[in-house]
This record gives sequence, structure tokens and C-alpha cells, in this order.
Amino acid sequence: MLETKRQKQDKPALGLVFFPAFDWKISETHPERQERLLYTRDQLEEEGLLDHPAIREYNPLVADWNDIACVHVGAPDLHHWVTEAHRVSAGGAIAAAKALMEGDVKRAFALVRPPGHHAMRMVHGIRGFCTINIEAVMLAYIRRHYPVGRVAFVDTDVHHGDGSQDMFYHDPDTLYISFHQDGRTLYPGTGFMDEFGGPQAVGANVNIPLPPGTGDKGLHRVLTELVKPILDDFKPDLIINSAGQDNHFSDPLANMNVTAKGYAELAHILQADIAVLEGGYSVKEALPYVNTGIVLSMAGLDYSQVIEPAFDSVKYAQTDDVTRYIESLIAQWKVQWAQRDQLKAKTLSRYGDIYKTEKRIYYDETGISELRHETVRLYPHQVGWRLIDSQSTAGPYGHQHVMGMFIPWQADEVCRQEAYDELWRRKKEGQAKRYVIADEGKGLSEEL
Amino acid sequence: MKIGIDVGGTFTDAVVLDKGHMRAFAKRRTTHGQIMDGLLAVLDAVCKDVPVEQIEKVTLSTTIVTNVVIEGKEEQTDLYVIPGPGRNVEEAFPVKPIQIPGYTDHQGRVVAYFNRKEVKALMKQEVQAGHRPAAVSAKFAIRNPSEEQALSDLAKQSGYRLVSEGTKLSGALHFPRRTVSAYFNSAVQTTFSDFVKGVQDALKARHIEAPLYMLKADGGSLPIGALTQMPVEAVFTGSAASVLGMKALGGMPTSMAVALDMGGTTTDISLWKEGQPIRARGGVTIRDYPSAVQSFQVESVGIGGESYVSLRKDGTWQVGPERRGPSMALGGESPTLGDALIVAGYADFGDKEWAWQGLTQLTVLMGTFSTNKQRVELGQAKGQKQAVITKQVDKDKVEQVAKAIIEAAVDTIQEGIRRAVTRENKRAVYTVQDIVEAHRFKPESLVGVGGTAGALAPLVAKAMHISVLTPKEAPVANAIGAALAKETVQVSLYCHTGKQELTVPELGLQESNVGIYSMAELLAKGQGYLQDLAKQMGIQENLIVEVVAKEDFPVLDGGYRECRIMNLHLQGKAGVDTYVRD
Repeated sequence: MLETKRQKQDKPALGLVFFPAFDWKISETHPERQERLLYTRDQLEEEGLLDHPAIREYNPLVADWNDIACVHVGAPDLHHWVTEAHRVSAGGAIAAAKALMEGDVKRAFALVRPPGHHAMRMVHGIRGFCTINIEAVMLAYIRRHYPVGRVAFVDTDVHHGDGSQDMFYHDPDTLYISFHQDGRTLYPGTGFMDEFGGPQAVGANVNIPLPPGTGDKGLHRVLTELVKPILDDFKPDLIINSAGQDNHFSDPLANMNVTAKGYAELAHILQADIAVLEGGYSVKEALPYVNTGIVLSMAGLDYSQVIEPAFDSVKYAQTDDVTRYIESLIAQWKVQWAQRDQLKAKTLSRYGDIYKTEKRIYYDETGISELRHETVRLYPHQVGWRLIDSQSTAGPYGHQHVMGMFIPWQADEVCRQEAYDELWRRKKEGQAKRYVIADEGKGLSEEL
Repeated sequence: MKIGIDVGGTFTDAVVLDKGHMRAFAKRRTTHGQIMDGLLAVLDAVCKDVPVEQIEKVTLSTTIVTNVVIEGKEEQTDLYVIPGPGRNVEEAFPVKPIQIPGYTDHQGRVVAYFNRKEVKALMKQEVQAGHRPAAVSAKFAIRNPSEEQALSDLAKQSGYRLVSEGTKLSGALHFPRRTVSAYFNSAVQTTFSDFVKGVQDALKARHIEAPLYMLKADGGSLPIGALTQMPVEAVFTGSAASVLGMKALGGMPTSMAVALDMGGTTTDISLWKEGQPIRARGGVTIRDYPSAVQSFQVESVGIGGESYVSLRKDGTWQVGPERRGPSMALGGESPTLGDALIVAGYADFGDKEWAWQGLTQLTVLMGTFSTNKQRVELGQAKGQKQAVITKQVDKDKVEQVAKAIIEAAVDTIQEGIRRAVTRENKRAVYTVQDIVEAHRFKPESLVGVGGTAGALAPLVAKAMHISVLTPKEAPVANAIGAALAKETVQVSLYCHTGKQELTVPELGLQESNVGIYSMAELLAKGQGYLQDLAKQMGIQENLIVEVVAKEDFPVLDGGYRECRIMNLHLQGKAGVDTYVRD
């Protein structure tokens, strides 16, 4: 039933939600400042791509508070952190998804800011330039309005999308694949192979940490030899690309050697249904060209002539060391991927009904430390609730203690009732300041 | 006194205006193929009683350029482009472009200079093939016109008769649009110049020494000398004349309004805000190629007083877009929307009997359809006259059919209005504020002009639950619009306060050490340039400066020093310089 809608004939190849948020900044000198997409706008407009017949431009929507509050819980609350800009950015992703799902376009690209892939379930502040996870808000919206089952994310930002990993870590129907510069050399320091998904979702989180200096060659190898086969095994209804652009050789915050054409090629190989912009801070040398490349590629147009002026094929060549490292990484991954079902069975049998874990999260933008105690309810044949008991210190609003109960989108009434019962029980213990239910399937949030 | 002449698709109109009073007007059939004949005929008709020495100004709105481009009769033109990296432009233009390697980036930095020697040799070869005009255009030449200028100079040196440059025609981002403008600008120049010469000779022969002006698609006028440099601007001026005519005839409401120009075949829809027509984004499309030529946003639907009426397969009425001839009330052979308006009592013209006859035919047709559930073709109405008259058809039923036909026409017009409004409301905006506090266009009133407006516009307004205004009909509104069009020019300024550089593409200007640090300072500078350009083009009036668009970005220099990038687009405000009273 999904296919019939999406097979409308004679529609533009690409729906483009271009929203540069020219009036939004974190601060005047922050990488996330007004001019970030200015030169991209100049390039797209000058190329004549915003009114090209293969491309239809859309304005973003403004995401409803419930669209956000059914996936995130804030401390002290969401209103202290989420601004109109975040609602518009998430609304931009939703607008792109709607254009695609209504069958108006063949594929969609939300070229929007502020970004979101470092934002986790609990929001105590801004981390890695992100406040809310715009892709997660979008996906919850898609799942509520359209019959979509399995979804795969491919995060092509240079930084590990630790926020997206957190959002989907316990969902076996949402595969999160990220390749990024190795966490031992770059923020946020996570994203290793052994982060393979929660007990009920082992195999649904795939991290591919690449060595600094990876170029087009290495990237495409990872894509064709590893990512594509994994996607083929997973058989998603929808592929979403978290399209960070900071693997570019000129990016000031990372150390990779990918080119604009390399990104266009990536988009071509991946054939994502929806792409959403994430990072990328070489605003003059990279973004105008990378975005032109991705837009051309997603619109099915010729991208072979996208060559950024700063490119130097000798200086930015991938070294043999890097090539060998990538080869062995791919080999290692193939082994781990083949073992995913055994690993899942083993893990589940180890934990029984309840899985508990403890985590510390740092919010770099505001210097806040969060301490989490997480509990996940495990069932033999369905996805269970996730409770996050979350405390933070050193923030502008003082000590925080909030309990967030996250009900999975697949939940039935039994699971939902158990989630409520558990949070009521916790409330009786009375340690936290707030007790909040976030219910993705119903698109609601409730304070107990 | 001012003379306005509008060469339209069907009629050529002329008017003589004396400070807002209409002294004379005339209407003649447009003489296709020989535009000048019809033009001279109306000119002579209106000038009969006007002392020639009192004529201050003659303004023309003609289809001369439009016809050349629509019929594909433009002159063969060599198109040189410096596209740099990016989109493949091989198929983007009306002719295959000659692509020159080289690149200026989005900051106006020349990354790679084009090879002068090679290009010179290439041009020499091309020129030998024939005495053609050329057009040149470079990506991001609006940020630094030097490479495009160099290419143009080289083309002139190589012997090209004339060369158009993209940036001289538009200072806005959009390399393909500027290129299309440049191409057509060169390609229509010969026809245009010949035509202008013809008009000038004719004026001279009649001892009219007043300066000749011509209307542009953007609703402004220019002295003919200036327009000869940019003839492409004179394409599709019909809707500009019509919109200006509405304005000149007064009383465009200041609320958000929909204006309908209702003719015989089509209704042109324009949207108005604060008494000003809304402009189209980007520019007009010339033979499927989007150009940078500015215009008002006009949406056309195929409904007019002479729209042909037929019965669809599903038993509903099809009104327009076909026109088979005049209404039966005016001696036509098949029933039209106009006939339905007469029968329903909304209009009163021609021979009412014939209107009733036509609608009775349609009623019988409908009756046959209802019983047989089969579609019946309506024959030649006149041939069937006898048969119908012998049949007694209930008058109420005929009126009902007329009303159903009118309803279908109103629906189609409303559909067009919805399309226009939706397009306006989907205009891309790039700030959080513009999304959160969206300024949506919502029509609050309706203005109808043209032959069918008196009868039909109130019905459209009623269906939309808004008020309606049908200004007293002037038979030559478009000519009035042309006569009173204000003179306009445009300049675009791009300033980087860190580098202290300023670019004004329309003037081919790039300055350094400009001493500009704020938008206020840039605005002052821009106003000066606009007046300079106006003078250069021979404009005598003082322009009212309008800020079409401005952007002011705080940016970081390489050394993390805060500075600004500012974009400013100014024009002399388009419109009319006086209003016409009865």
C-alpha cells in the first residue's frame, strides 16, 4: 500500500527542503552561525537548481510540541532548551518525509539546520551543536502516519552520531549504521564495533570507525563492500541518510579526505529515500560543492563536473596504510555481521526480563554532566519499554533529576500498561523531580 | 500630452492622455506580419486633433520581441559560457553553448582564468563562419564580472557585431537565467532595431519629435536608446501593460487583492498587496527556457466571454479553454459563456434571442444526454434552429443550464486563483521568523476589468465570499498603462565589509577600499549608483528608490574577525505616474 502512493508518475525526482535558518546561531563565532549555509544558497541558486524541473523546493513546517515530546524528555523540561529554530528544523525533516510519503517526489533532501544527530533521548542541554534529534522526530512522525516497518539510517557525518545511536539502540526494526572518523581521534569519542545494539536489538547498530585520512576510495569501498550488503540483509522499507558533510578534506573540525564528487557518488550508491543534513563546517570550501553534488545526484542529474576549487589530488590522496586498515576493518565486520543472530540469542538469554546499564553523558556546549541509570524491559517476542533515570549537575538551572519512560513505537496495550505501572511505582519511591512518559506510537507525552 | 500604444494579440490600441484625462483613443485590428501598419493606423487616428508639438512622450508596448522568440525566428547567435564546476549546462540553453574552461567562485575569487589565446583563436574561427552576434555569460560573474567582461571584450575584438553580457541584464544569482537572457538579447537585437527605426521614421514623418519610450516586462519603461541595449526586456509586455492599466484606472485596494483581467478567451489573474502587483520569482520563461527578465506574476486560465461551451462525457459542462468565435448574441455560431451570462440575466449585450437560442440548444442536448446517457455532439447551431424552435423547452430549465455553465466557469477561475495564491504562499523563505510568523496571502477583495468582468467578476467574488470592485471600463486600459508607465532601472550591490569590496554587476563595477560598514551606508551608495545608471540611460524623472531585496549577514573572516556580507537590490519603483479620471 506504501508503494502505490510512491509510484505516482511524472513527479520531480527530488523534493528539496532548503532551510538555511539565516537568523539562527549558537553564537557569533560558533561553527553553527548564520552564514553556515549562505554560500550553499549562493551556489544552489547560481547553478539554477532551486527551480530546476527535476527538483521541487518545499518550505519547512513547524514541528508540533507533541512530535518532539513523544521522543524526547527534557530536564528541567523541553521548553528550556527547544527553540522555534529547532521546531522548524525538525519540521523541515518532516516536510521532506511528507513530500516523499505522499508520493509527490521520488526522493527528498532536508537541507536544514540546526542539526540533531548528537541529541539523545534525554535533553539536558546542547551537545555537539544538537538539541533535539530531528531525524528521530521525523521517523516517529513517519511511523505514526504511514505504514512503515523497517527503517535503516546511514549516518555519513564524520562524527559518530551518538545521539541517533541512543535513540534507536533498543529498536530491532531501526538499523543505525554510522561510519565516522575513529572515536579515539575525534568527538564524541564513541562509535566502536562492539556497540552492536541493545539486548533485544543486537545487530541493529553498526559502527564503522574509519582512520583519519580516509578518502573517496576508502569510503566507497566501505559503502559497496559492507554497508550495501548489510542493507540488503536488513531489507528496509525506507533508507534515511544523515548527511553530514564534514568528511570533506577541507573541514576544520575533522581529518578526512573525501571530496564533493565523492559525496555525490556516495549518494548515488546509497540511493537513500530521505537525506537530512547534519554537520559540515567548511562553509566556503566544501558545503557549496558537496551540497550541489548531493542535490544533483539525488535528482538523477550529472554530477561529474562538481569539482571544488581547493581540491588537490596529490595532497588529499588516501595513503596505502589507510587502505590496508580499511580492508581489515571490512573483513572484521563481515565476521561480526554474520554472527549477529547467535550473538542476539546469547545476549537475551544472559539478561532475562530486565536489562540495566549506567552511563555518563557530557553536554559540551553548556558543560553539563548527566548520569543515567537505564532499565529496559525484555520480552521474548516483542520490544519492551525503556526507563531512563537521569540526573545532571553544573547546568544553568541547577541540579536536575528526571525520570523518562520511553514506550517503543511497536508497543501493544500490555507493554504500555506495564510502562505506566513501572513509572507510577518509581514515582511512589519519589526520588526524581519529574516523571514523564514519552509515547512514540501515540504521539504523546504525559507527566505523572 | 502622452501617447500610449499597445500592440496586443487581437487589437492595437492607442490613447492620448492629458494630465490624467483621456483626450483621444483608437482601436484597430493588429496586423500580424506587418505590425507597423496597424500601429500607424491607430497613431494617425488618435493624433488627428492633437497638436504634435504638445506631445511630450510616446510609449510603446509591442509584441515584436515576443513574436520573434515564440516563432523561433531569432538570429543565429554564438553563446560563450564559463560554467566552471557544477551542473552540466550542455542542454540548458536554446543553443549548444561554447564552453570555456575557467572559474570564478561564489566569493568572486577568480580560481582559474580562461585562456585568452585559445579563446581568441576559437572566436576568430567562429566569426569567419558568418557575421553573427554573440552572447557571453560566466558563473558567479555577478560576484566579479571581470572574466565575463574580458570574454566580451575579446568577442568584440574578434569581430562579433554585437555582444550581450549576462550580468548587464541581471545582477541576481542564477547563471542559467542570465545566460538565457543574454542569448535572446543578442538574438532579437536586429529585428528590434529595425522595428525601432521604422517607428522612429514614422514619428518623424508625422513631425512628432517627442522621445520614444518602450515598455518592459517588469512594468517599467525606458527611453528607446537604452532599451536597444537590452531588447530582451521588451518580451511579454502584454500583462505588464494590463496590470499598469488597472493601476492607472485607479482604486486598486490596499488590502490583499486578486485582480482579474477578463477578456474574450482568457482571464489573467494577478495578486496585489498594498496596492502593488506581486512580482514573479526568477523571471519569465522564454520558449521553455527560464530567463532573468523580470515580470509581474500572472496566472492565465482559459475562461473568457467567448469561451466555447460543450457537454463532457460525464454530463458536466466544459467551458473553455477553446474559443470557436463570438457569442451567438453577437452573430456567432455556437453558444458561449457570454450567451449563458445573458440568459441568466447577468449580462446585456447583442441579440438576446440568439443567446436564448444557443442555451436552448444546450438544454435539449442535456435532456438527450440524461435519457440516453450518451454524449451528443452539438451541430452547427444555426443549422438546427428550426428543429429547436418547434420544441417547447421550459424557460426555467434553460436558465438552470445557463447557471450551471456559469458555475463551471466560476469554478475554473477560482481554481486558477487558488493556484496563484498557493504559489505565492509557497515562496521559499529562509529565516525562522518568516516560517514561524508566516505572512500568508489571503485575498480580501477582488477587482475585475475587461469585457466580461462586469458580469462574471461579482460571481467569482461571491463564491469566494469577498468584496468586488469593477472599475468603469476603459476600452484601451493597456494603452493607458503603457502611456503612464514609470521609468525603471535596477542595480544589485554585493558588499563584503571585511575585504572592503563592492560589486555592482549591472554597471560592470568592482571597487575596493569602499569604506562601507553598514547597510545604511550601502543603501546610500546604491541610491547614487541607481541615479547614475538612470542618467546613463537617459531617464529624466527622479526615480523613487525601492528596496526589492536586502540581506545582511554577520560572517567571520579567515582570521575570525567579524564582518558582514550584504546584498542589496534596488530599483526605481514601477507603477504609473498619474491616475486617469473619467
